[in-house]
Amino acid sequence: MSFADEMKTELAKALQAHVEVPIPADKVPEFHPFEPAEGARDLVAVDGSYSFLLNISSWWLALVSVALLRYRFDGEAYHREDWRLVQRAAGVSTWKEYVETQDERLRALYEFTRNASEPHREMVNELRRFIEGEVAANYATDSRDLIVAVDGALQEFPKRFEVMEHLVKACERQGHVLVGVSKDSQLHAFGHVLTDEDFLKRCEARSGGNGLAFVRAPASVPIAQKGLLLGDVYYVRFHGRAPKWFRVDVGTHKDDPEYVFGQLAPYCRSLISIGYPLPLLEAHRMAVTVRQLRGAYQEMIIRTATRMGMDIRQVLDGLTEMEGRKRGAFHEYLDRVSRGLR
Amino acid sequence: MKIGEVVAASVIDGLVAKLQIADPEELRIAYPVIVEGDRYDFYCLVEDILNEESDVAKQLAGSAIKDVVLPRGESDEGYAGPIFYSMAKLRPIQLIEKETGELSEPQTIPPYFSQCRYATKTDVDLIYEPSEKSAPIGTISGVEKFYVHLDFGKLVEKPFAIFGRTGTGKSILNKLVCCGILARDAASVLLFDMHSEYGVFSKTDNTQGLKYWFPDKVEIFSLDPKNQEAHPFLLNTGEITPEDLIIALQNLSPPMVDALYEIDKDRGSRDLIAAIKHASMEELGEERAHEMSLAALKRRIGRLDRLPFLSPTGKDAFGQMAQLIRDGRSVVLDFGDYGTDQTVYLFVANVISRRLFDLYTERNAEFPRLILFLEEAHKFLDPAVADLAPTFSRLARETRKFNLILALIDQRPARISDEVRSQLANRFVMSLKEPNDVEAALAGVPDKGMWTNILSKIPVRTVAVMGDAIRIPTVIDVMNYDPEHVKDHIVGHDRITEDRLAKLASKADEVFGR
Repeated sequence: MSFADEMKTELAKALQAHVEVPIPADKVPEFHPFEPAEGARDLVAVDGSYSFLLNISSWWLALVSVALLRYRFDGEAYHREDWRLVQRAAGVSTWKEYVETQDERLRALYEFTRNASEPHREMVNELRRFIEGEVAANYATDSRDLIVAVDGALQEFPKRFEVMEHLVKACERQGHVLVGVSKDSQLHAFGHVLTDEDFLKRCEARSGGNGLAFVRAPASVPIAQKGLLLGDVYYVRFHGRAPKWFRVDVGTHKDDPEYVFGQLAPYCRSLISIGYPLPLLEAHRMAVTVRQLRGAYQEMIIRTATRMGMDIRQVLDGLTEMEGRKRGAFHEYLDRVSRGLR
Repeated sequence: MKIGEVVAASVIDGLVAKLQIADPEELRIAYPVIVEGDRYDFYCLVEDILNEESDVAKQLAGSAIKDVVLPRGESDEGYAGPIFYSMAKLRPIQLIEKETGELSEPQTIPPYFSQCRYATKTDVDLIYEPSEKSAPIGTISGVEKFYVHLDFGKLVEKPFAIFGRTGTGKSILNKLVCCGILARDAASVLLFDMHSEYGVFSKTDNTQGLKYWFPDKVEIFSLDPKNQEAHPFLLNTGEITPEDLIIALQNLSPPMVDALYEIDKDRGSRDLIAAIKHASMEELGEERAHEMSLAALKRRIGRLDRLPFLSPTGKDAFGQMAQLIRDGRSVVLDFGDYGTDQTVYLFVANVISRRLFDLYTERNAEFPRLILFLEEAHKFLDPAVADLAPTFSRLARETRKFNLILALIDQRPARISDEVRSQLANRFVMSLKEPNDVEAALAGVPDKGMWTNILSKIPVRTVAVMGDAIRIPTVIDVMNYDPEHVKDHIVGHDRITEDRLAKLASKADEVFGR
């Protein structure tokens, strides 16, 4: 059997399992239509990113960047009213003896991620979520009656750190609507071979409506989650022409999801991001500047490290690419050579 | 008001700013903009405004999706300004040192993210400092009403030119320039007034002429005997040279030019026109002239033969004109009904200019500075005739030494010889459509690329002024030529009394036969 035949066979199997697979009528979930609010509250969007800058053996220096943007929508245009950009440098290690010399939070992160395939990335990713939670909670404490939208699920782990819980409480206290919007969800809470988002897309035609709608996630979702879930989980289509359903965790106003989604929907009308809140897109764009500017930060490292007496070759050898991989790693060298050869 | 930030910069190629204004239509080419560096304010002109190509824009354009907010400058504000933003290319023209206000050439660049804002009156005040001999001719676009001063003292030191296609406002600009020269006593002027525009009142639009504003400084001569208010203009035919005829008749063939010079050699005491009329092949012989060429020359000379201001009796107004010029007067030579006859204009202008050139070179010390305004300049300065009729080329090259300064007014600068153009110390360039004319008008100008862009879009009644009469090259909206503006900004209110005005006005009808 040639590789072309193998491809054909595999495609046929996948099509049968994913595209042609029937969805019985009793499995189609209940779709709840809703309307966008006439006058939406201001929306505060929080998202973060990180960049690895330097690697020495089992230790990485990372820069975490969290962006907060506050927007107002006047029915026709989105206006940026306020912003924060918080950046933190952190050293993460996968060597236990070294981790024991670090603070409690990093020690906890080490424990939480030690079985991951790339624990240094997992650690920094969790650290980013901590900082996002802190930034959002601080802003929520100092304001009232906003929509606070964070990136990703509203969940806490490791459980003993309560940052997200602190955010939920601050939002409850200050009258905010709190949501966590996941860009992509890979859950199979509906118990189908399709992911929940794809499953809902298949079902929507049969639901009879093509406007704004939400679906409550099955009870299995909290069980499937790894950490402590702090909100009610829904899947929402925020615009009639939205290309996908988004998982949305509702942290406050849990008894009135229709109101919550109605408040969010006006922010999902920009042609750039139909169905997804524009402020979250912008917060993401702002946060990822930490990756775009990695070269500038690395220059700072070179200057600082050499001034501190480090050998320049060692510093240059430790500079990292996107995911913490050393520039000098051998397979990076092979990749460069492969790109250069015809 | 902040309009953007610098995102790229080069001393050679200029600056690029990311605009933060909601609507790029607020900005226009040639608007002055200040970029605030650390040590200097960079006075710049907008060279181009652009929306760069964007894959996202391409993807979104033409979307039929309803109930969406279009990502436009005024509706979508990203984390760092509008998500879809415009860019502006800026050309630094001058540096203003922040502490001292000292001006210098732009030999450096501002840091990244330097703020850009519209120039204010305070900024331009620092650049365009008025002098004793300066007066405004208009305002700058893109700044609150600011009248730009031109130093007429410097302007009249060397040849200058006004270039622009028909209908762009060259005559109005020229009137303002003449008013400025006379009001500031920078020099006297001599104008060949083809369309009776510069005397007391313009025959074409009834606006005031130079005699109206400066009755004691301006004298009118007229080719038209009906004009009783003007000195009659008579020209002694004995003063006519081959050069005058080569210019006047344009496109004489080389054999005709040869025949002309041969006749001139033999004419003795006869004037040249009479000599041509009576020339024969028997006298000249076949070696010196061709029969067909002689016949053609005679036919073409017939047009001049019938002109009433040509005096075979020896009467000539040039002496009187020269005397008035020596006394510091300016002269407007009104062509009356002959203004539409280009041959007459070329002929008379060449005769007068040639004789003035001779006079100024021989008796320079006796004469004040005179600006000789020459319309349709390319007909005198076309490389094709320049060798045969060199007066104007020599005027452009040499006469600033002798106080006789050439001012060219033309719509085809490409047809003026390079050598003459290179002598121009100041240029007023209005809209030109032919690329070779733009190229010629800007020959030798720094930042030519930018000026080419600007001129390609410049509206009528707007002029790019460059040269040593103005601190920096500037695009100026030419001021309205009306009594209010001319009095307020150039001539002043005490120059013309009510009595004199009434007297002049009462004569206007007579002058124009109304």
